[in-house]
Amino acid sequence: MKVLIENIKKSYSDRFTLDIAKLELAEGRIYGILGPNGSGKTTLLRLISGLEKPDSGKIRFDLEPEAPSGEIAFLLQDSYMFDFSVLENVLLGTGGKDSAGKKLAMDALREIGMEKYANAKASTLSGGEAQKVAIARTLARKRQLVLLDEPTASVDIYSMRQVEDFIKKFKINHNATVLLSTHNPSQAARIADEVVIMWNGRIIERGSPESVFSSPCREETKQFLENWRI
Amino acid sequence: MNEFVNSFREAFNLIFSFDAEVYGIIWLTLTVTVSSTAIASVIAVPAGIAIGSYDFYGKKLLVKIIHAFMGLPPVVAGLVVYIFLSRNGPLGSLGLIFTPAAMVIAQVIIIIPIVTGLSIAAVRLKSKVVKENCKGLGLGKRQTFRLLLHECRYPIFSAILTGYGRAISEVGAVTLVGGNIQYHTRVMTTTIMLETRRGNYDQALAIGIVLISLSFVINGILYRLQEGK
Repeated sequence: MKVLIENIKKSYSDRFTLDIAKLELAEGRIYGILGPNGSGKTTLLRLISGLEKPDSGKIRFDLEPEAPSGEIAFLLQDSYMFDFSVLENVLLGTGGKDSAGKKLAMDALREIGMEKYANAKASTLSGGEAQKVAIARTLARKRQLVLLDEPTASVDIYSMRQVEDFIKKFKINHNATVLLSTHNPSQAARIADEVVIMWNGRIIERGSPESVFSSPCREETKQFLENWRI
Repeated sequence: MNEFVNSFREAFNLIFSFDAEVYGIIWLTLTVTVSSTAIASVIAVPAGIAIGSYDFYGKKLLVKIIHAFMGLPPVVAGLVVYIFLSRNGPLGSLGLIFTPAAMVIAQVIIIIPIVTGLSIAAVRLKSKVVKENCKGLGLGKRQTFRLLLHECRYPIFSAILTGYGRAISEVGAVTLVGGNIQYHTRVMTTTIMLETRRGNYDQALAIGIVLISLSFVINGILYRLQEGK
């Protein structure tokens, strides 16, 4: 799904304003949204998902003002496990509890190495395990647009690689557009086709990870990257 | 002390005497309180979830009014129902005054604000995170509502139990609109009042013990249902 963002503004009192003149996202690509805390990554994802309305500006999905029902999936930063089993939680993301839905759910759990916990109560999982189940739930079925807000913030290194492989496989299998916000440039370099750098509510730079990380144009990008060894 | 011992003995005698009047009173008490709690819950729980989880103009005022009505004196509710249902009242032609139906109506009016107010409090904390996660998964409004109900089921069940507790202990409204008519509208609380006035303290206490036991059993059953057993 192509996404076009034009002249979007969103303010939260005097504290913060998101201000994006234009952002075009192509079909079948993974975009890594990078930036420090409070730069507007989450706000951007919430606006695209429809959880928040912009004060002004437009967001178009394949030139339409609204995305087809159920075609956007959004993994929130504070993802929530419902008081069901792990499998039942993932089934919520498959759109059906029939055998096809169960197969999709089990496949998704297998991708992140959680299939052995399918019948466990979600409330018994650790924070990292719950996050992996939330990722499986979000990516369990085909979606045209997937928004992932810091999906691996609470998972270990080994699981992080599993999740990254799953996201890449998902994009290839479904030709989906994936937006992934992260603080971690290394992660963006590993999986993103393109990175978008945000600073104080604005997009200051975008391009391939190689070009942006090797020769950043903006001083703020340099500052942000200096704290990381890529 | 002797009085209490006698009361317990009397309570056992009452239960095991299989007296038709006593069992009629127990049955009517159960019918009226369970019916009024069920009717009130069907209205109040969805209303509480809707009010607690959506923002709209006038919400704060509405919540304040509901909270004020949570402390509605039962006798006032009974008086209003009495005025409406009495022969010369607007709904007098229905012939409901001094019937169990009138008692149920009065109790429904008393319970609705309690269950609504507690349901609002129950969903308020979780509604945002549940609704946003449901939307993130592309779930529809109906499924979101069902999931919100599921996630808040324990405090909502407590709200219903609190409503039931109010219904089974209520005496003012049912006396006014029911009339405490023998074999017709006499329930356990009105019987206790009557027997106390007659000076039959043993019998009043005995009925009280049966009432508390009944309340304990009903709460136990509801608690097990809540736990899914």
